[in-house]
Amino acid sequence: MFRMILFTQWKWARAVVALGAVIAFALPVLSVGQFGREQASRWEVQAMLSSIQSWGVLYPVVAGLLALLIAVLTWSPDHRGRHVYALTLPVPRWHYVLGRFGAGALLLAAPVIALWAGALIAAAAASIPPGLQAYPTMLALRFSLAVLVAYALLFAVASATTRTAGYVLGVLAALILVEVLLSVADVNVHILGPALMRVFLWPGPLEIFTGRWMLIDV
Amino acid sequence: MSHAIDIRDLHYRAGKAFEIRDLQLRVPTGSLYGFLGPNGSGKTTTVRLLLGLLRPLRGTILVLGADVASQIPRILARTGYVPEQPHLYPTLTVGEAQRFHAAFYPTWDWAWAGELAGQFGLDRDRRLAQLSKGEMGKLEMLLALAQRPELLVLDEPTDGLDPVVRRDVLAALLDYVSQHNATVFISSHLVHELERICDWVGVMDRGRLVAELPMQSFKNGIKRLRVVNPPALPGDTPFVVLAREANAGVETWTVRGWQGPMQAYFEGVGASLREVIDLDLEEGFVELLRTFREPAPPV
Amino acid sequence: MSRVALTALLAVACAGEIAAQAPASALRARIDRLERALGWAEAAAHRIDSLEHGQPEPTDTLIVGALHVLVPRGILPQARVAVTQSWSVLDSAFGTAAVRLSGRPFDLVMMRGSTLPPGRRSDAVLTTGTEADIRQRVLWSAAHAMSVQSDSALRVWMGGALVPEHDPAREPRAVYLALVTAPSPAARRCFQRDLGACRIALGFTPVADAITDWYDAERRRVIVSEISFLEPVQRMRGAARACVEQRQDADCVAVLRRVPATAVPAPLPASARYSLIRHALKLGGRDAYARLLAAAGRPIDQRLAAAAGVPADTLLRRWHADIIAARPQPVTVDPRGAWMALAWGLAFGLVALRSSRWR
Repeated sequence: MFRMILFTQWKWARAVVALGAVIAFALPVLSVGQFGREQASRWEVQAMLSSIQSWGVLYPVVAGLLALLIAVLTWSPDHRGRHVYALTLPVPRWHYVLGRFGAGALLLAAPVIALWAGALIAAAAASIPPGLQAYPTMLALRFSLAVLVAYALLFAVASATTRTAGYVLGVLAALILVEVLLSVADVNVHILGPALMRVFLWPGPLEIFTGRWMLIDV
Repeated sequence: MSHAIDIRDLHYRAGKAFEIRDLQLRVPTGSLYGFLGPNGSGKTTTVRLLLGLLRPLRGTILVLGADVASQIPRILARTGYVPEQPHLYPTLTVGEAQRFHAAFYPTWDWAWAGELAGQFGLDRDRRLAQLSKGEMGKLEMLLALAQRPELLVLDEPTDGLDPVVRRDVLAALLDYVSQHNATVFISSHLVHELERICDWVGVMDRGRLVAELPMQSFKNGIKRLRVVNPPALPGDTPFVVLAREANAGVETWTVRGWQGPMQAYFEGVGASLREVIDLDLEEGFVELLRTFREPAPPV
Repeated sequence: MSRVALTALLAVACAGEIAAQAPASALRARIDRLERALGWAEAAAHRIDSLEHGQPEPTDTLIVGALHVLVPRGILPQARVAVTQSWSVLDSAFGTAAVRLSGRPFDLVMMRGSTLPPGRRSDAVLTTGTEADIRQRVLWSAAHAMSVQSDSALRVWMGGALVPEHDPAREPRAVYLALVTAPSPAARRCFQRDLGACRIALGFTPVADAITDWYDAERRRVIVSEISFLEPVQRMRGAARACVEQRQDADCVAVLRRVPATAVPAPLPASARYSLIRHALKLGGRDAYARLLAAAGRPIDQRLAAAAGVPADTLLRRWHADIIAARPQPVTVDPRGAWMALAWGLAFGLVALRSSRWR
């Protein structure tokens, strides 16, 4: 059963998975492309770290986008059929949802492994000054956790009924509206900022996104 | 008599506009049960309730002896379902759709599936998105039959199909039923189609079951009578008067539960019965609904 | 008062520039004289202010150790705690030398707008009144007072006041980063345990002599282009142009040797030097700071060795080991964060399973 669920998901998400894997592989390789051995002496460590840091912004972005696309693609054919097929299959529903969740997570392993491979190759190819080190495995681990959390979150949203999704969006819109109204009324109360802090700082769900995304660091 | 489907005191509400009230429905095991009703009468809602897609407010639904509320996977494993709208994944090919479906049904019969695919002329390698409506209908029926179900729930299975495809699909269905003594619950508004194949009929209107009886009783029991010198008030009739229409001294009565010996009633009230006209299922269905919606017959 | 203080401060500020053009010992004597004058001027100004403005808002005097702090009565409870904590930190940092603070009372004033309340000294310590703020500001003021009392050679080398650190791990971490990322080859060699390079990078030798050791030719060219607006560089326009445009390193060196020492960025930030002093004080015990001050006139490395009570190379080696051990947390996934991410993933998965769609 899981094999067939995985197969169907692969069929409709393979383009995204392949593209994601290529990007994930290319990112670390490109980020050290200019630090080849022959040019090592021309680079100052600070400039190197700044460049690596700039590239580092892309890892969480790619993780978030991949998670979003795979979560949406996981459910889109079922959404199109209003979930009737899934709900009339003779398995406990949580088995089916778990199957879909697992299949999506497994597909996301491809870009994660690609990133790991790319990071290992990049680390081996780059000329790293004394005092700096390459962290290909940690970068891949952080990427995998970020992808997993974002995927699980978006999978849950995509699993919800239109009504529930509407409630979630409604609450978000209400928060933004209240923030705007308070700002117009010159009331020094902030809602969105603290809410985002709760999401992105420990122990918030997206805290893993806010760490250091450095292939090379001290 | 055992029942493949047994619905008791079912109550369901969808918003303020529609509800199913106190539904009692029993589908005898081995029967071909036609579930009739106009659009919006609650047929599809009832189908969804008995497949566990919707949850009733109250009442019980037993399908193949199991309670839908607690044993739905077990029920679905023994039930083939053809929905009103195609619901399969369009990116799959015909072969892949069969493989996906088979993975969930331990009773799947590959030989029978292959035979049906040949019979329906379905190409294994064609993508579902490229199939015509008729081909999709055939594939849906193939998937429902090849899992060798004890109960087939068909929701408007031939709606929109051309006559040739409709005949193929129904032939395959009847063939399967005759061989396996399966129960078929077929919801449709195509009355003539049900008249040919069903042995039981249930009529649904505005969320209520109007009638449920053997097809033969239904067809034979509803008659149109031409009555000369009818009484002003019918009094205590041995049949149910559904409708009366006057036309130049002759009245046309639509009645239910008619039997030949009941002619004596007219002699007793000083009237004479000039003609007894058989109604087909569709006419009977229309009259039944009209009576249900306007309970008091016009005098 | 303000005019006097300003003059004195300007004199102190100019000391660095003058130092580049005059013998060091004469300059040091001059600076010491100026500082004494500044102290007198401050005391006089305080007396004059008191006479001019009548009685300021009622205060109490808190005396903790050698710390004398005038505190507005409204913030007395939190000030008592904060001053006690500050003294504890100062005492452990400066040891017996901290007693020098007793000659200088600190006037704590509540911040109200951007101007001082009437009747307060212009060097009053402004505070928001919270315990943390009082502690921080008293520490800062006391550290500056200690710095003013030290000799100019030490002050110039340090590049600022030695403010005791609350988080002892923060500074070595920053120094580690500086050693790794500094553009100076000397700093990077220092990172690789070359103690000679550490001496150069820490500025134990005069800037004019160290300029070729501090930076490579390319960096020297960049520095000259960055300070080209300075008057001494303008005076050597030809050499500066040859340095920047024609990459003539000899011209770069010539220009950099003629500019004030403070114009050439040190290879390592001040925190590196602070950390070395702190290390020496830690090794030397309670009298370490006093010994550091007492050794005025000797080269910096010997003064630090005297303070620490160990040879200069030993001190440098231990400091280096301390810095290397303080390597910042490398790029890693905190196990706590990883588990939390997995837990959130699981929680969202469960939410998906419990969606009303499946019920």
